[in-house]
Amino acid sequence: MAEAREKARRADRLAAAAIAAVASLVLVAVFLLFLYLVREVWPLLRSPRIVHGGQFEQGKVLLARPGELSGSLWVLREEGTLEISPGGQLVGLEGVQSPVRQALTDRWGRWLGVVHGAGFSAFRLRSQVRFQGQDRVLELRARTVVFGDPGDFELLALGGEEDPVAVGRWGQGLCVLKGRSGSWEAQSFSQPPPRVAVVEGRGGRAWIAAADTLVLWDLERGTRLASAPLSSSPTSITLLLGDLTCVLGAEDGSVTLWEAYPSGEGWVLEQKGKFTGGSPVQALAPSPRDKSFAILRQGVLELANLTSRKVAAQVPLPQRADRLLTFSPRLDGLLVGEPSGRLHRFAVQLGHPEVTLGTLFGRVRYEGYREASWVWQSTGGSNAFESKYSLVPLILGSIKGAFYAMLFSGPLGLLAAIYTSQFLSQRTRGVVKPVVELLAGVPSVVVGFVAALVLAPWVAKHIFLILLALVFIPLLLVTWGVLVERLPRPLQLAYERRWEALATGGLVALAIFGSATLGPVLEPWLFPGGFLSFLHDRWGVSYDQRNALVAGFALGFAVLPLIFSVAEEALSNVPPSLLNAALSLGASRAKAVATVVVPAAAPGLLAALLLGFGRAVGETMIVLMASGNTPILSFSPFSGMRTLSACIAVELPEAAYGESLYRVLMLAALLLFLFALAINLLGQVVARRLSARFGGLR
Amino acid sequence: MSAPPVRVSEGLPSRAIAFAALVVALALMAGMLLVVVVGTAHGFWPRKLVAFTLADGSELLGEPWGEEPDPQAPGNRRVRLKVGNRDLLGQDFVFVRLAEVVAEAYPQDAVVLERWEYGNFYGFPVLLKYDGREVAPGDPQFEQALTAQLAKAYRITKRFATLRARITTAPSEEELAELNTLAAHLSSCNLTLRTASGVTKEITCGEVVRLWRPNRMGLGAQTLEFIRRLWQFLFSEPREANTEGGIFPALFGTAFLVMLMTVFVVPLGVLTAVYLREYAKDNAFTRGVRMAVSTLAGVPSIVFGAFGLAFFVYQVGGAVDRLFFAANLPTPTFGTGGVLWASLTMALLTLPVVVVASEEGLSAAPPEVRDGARALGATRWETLRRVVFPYAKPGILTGVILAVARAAGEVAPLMLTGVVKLAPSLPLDGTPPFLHLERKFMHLGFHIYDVGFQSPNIEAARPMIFATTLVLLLLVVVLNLLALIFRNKARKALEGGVL
Repeated sequence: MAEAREKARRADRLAAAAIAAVASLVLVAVFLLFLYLVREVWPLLRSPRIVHGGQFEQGKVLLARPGELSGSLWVLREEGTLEISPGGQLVGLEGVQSPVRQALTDRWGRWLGVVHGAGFSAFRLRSQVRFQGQDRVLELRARTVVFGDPGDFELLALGGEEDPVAVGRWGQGLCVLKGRSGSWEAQSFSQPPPRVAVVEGRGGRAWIAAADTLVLWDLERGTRLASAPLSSSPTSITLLLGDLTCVLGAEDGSVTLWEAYPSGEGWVLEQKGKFTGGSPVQALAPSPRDKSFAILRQGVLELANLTSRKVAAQVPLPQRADRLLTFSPRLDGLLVGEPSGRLHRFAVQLGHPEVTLGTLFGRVRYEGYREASWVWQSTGGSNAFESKYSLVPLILGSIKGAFYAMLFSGPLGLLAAIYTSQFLSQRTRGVVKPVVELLAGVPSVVVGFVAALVLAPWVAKHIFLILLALVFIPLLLVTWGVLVERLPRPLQLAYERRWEALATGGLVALAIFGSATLGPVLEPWLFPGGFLSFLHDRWGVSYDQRNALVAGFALGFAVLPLIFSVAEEALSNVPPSLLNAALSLGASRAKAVATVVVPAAAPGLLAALLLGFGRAVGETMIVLMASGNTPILSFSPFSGMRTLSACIAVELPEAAYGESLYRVLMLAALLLFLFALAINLLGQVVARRLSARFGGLR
Repeated sequence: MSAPPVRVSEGLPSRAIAFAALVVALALMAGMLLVVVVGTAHGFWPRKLVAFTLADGSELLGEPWGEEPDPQAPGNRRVRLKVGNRDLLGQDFVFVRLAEVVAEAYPQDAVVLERWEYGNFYGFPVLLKYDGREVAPGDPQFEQALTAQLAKAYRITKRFATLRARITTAPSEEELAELNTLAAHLSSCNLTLRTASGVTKEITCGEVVRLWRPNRMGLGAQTLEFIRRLWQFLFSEPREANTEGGIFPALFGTAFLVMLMTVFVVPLGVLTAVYLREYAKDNAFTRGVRMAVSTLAGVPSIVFGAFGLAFFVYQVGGAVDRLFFAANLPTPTFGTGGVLWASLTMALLTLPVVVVASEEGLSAAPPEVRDGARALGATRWETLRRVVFPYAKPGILTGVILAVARAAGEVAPLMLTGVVKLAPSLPLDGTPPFLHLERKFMHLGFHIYDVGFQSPNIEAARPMIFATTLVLLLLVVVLNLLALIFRNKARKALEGGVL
């Protein structure tokens, strides 16, 4: 017997430990939830890093570019051969005779232009990574596209798609060389002598900087499209990925950002950003994958980003290293060279330079926009698209939706709860409460579906009627109530006891019927042409079928049972002694409820509203379906919106693990989590504070 | 001296407004249910086929799907006619302006063919060819032959599909031979039809799911057809990008998800409730667990989805892949959304519901009974197991039912952790290891969202969406009602003090 009891006691201790362990799992789960969200967001805070990866001698080189294979590069020697390293494989350049006076590539290493003893050759470079046995090697091929002798000129830039276009200085003017059918067509223009130039990828336009002017040049027509004065002499120029933004480095150390905007019949150049620096800019290199770029100054290498307008990372380097700045194609390295031929390699950890507090919450001037604004547009057609990650439209969208939801369901829920807990008989209350709880169980998908596919078109057609009904119903009810109050007391009481339900229901139906019949008559009289076209023409307000009004109504519908239940619970928990005291002093029931019960239940009522608001902010499906899901910044009830939650639901499945969009969406999830926590805490604090004030009567 | 008249304000206007608020709140729910029921009935009730002859001589045959005012000719009306024949006409619906209609008829021999591909066909049968014989509609044997041949072709098509699905890489000789015989059977039966505009089309009998003549149906036949459609809807596979067919995989997927979730959430939730109710001391740990439960209750559902994606899918799933399924990499097995991760995420989401309901259930055991057990020398664990638990069962069951109802309707977290528009296979099937927890699945709630907002042909799919919504709504309402009944039973037991 004692054995059995001992076994039972051991089992009891084991059970207690196991149960406590399971309960702790819940705690662990919540911590994990918070921790993992933070973990996925944390890399956003890490700044990009450039780390010196070593230097090596390549002998005297004219050009060097990193290859697609990690750690590889090719160099151009004075003799006119390309050498691939590692491996030492040589690629001859056809027709090139020493001395090689000048050599340039375009920004992405597709074209190679060589000015040599026999003239000027343009080569199309194709590089590939091939398998040689077990190893991978870089293979480079240079195909002669154009060869000719255009005379003496200084080559400044190269570009183009099928046919190369070269821009250079000829004497004291500008010369443009177009490669057609294997030979050069030269054009010279009397323009201020260019210092630096860059040609767009398609070869249609070129940005040319002279000593004190920046010019946008039309290469096809040979005319100037736009120009702007420069305050400092330019030393380096490049175009960022996408060819929309021009980056210009100057003698005074400033790096300015320019963009061309259509104006009237032509174009205008606007400076849209500036980075200052100590020493003159020696070279600029655009990133091949995003809108970042590298700035080489004397003694320091910087990594900057267009969207954030910030220098994200810096690293010192030897003063002698002043040329050959290039990004590796995989964006994991930078190459800088010295005149002696020594090359420095840098490893780059880019991180997420385009996501900063400024770009998430502040106004940013994006490419293509004349003004700084808050925009959410995470993806575009290509890599060259500038991702716009402002959380402001999303946050405002969440608040807008919740606001319209509370506008509808706050008063409705509270009033319904007041009536149910104070004026309904016990029996009816026992039916109403479960019914409303059932309503709480309706999935939000169903509500969203009905709202979007049934309600939204109907509202669009009958918006005027609805607004009319919203005015009529309270008006009619209040008027009727005031009239009935004029009756003698016995009749009033009889009414309360027997006719109230019927009368109120009938009046609501009457008001709806009245709006339905009067609406078609009133609308053309008050708003000729229709209410919606009136809004559009007079006030410029456009009406989207799926808008904040419909979504707010649906959200309110979903949140209504929550507000009702919590408020009803709070009202029912008010001690009956309070109510009875008021009644015994002669107050009518309604008066007693309004002046005694409602204030006593105020903590619970406020908690109900807060919980409802919190729930409305976090709701996803209804907004996804009924709001049009457009990330615009507008408080109009007739336009749509996109909320944080809907954005996460739509975009997270498409975001690649670890990329900026993924982390920004995780940040949005973290914000929602913190908001829910804050609302819960606020609700508890408010409830306790008010409880201390009013609840002391218990 | 007479007393001054007593004027007591009853506050009737405010009462009226408050009562109207309640009425509106209740009416909204009834209204929503009504909308869904009417939408389903409207979509599934078999319609007659109407043949319009227009002023320009053209003929149209189809199902009328609603009248509305004609925006191009104010004062007149137009009819939305479902003309089907997507393979011939490119669109399902056309607008017929009543002002242009010269003649309207309900031809008795017009047929509707429900097909495996391209939707419905509306037309008139011209010729039936089978086993080398030809029968025309005038022939007395036509009807019989038609019904028999179509039924046979339907069976053969189903057998063909099952067989082909079973054959994977190396089919045996017999299987190949059987496939060939079946294919030969199918191609031997053809039906030639004529559309209203006179175009003839020949289709094989195997393309037809069903054939019926709506204009010959009386009310009884129509009711039977309606019920048959609802049945098909519940138990057949979807077709035509979810716009036709049924929702069986979605029902199965929802049921499977919910059952798997229950396996996780019930032990976790019930034991947590047991701890909070029976074993908890007033210390920081208990407060922490309570706060954890209430925090989980307040977190928006999409945040659970984001966590499920980051932790379960990428972290745990990635680790599982690297440890056990490295051969498949870089194609993820568990490192992508699936029914296992989705059910774990939903378990976290519905945990507070189960905890609260279980706590309530545990309170149902009267203290006298507990004390009595302890007085007899039972340990805490023994009391719990033998005495308290029977009282707690209704409460726990309530919690489970509410959790199930919540999981059936919650869509947002699933969108991130493994639900798909169309799943090629079910998570539970006949191929070993029979339980495939890494597979993606379909879900009723997501089905509504997907078909209603992301399908290529929303108009044609409208009846499907309404019906799916009705199914989900009924499911959730029934579950909640059950939970309500159990909770009331539990409360009555608590008040009564006896089992």
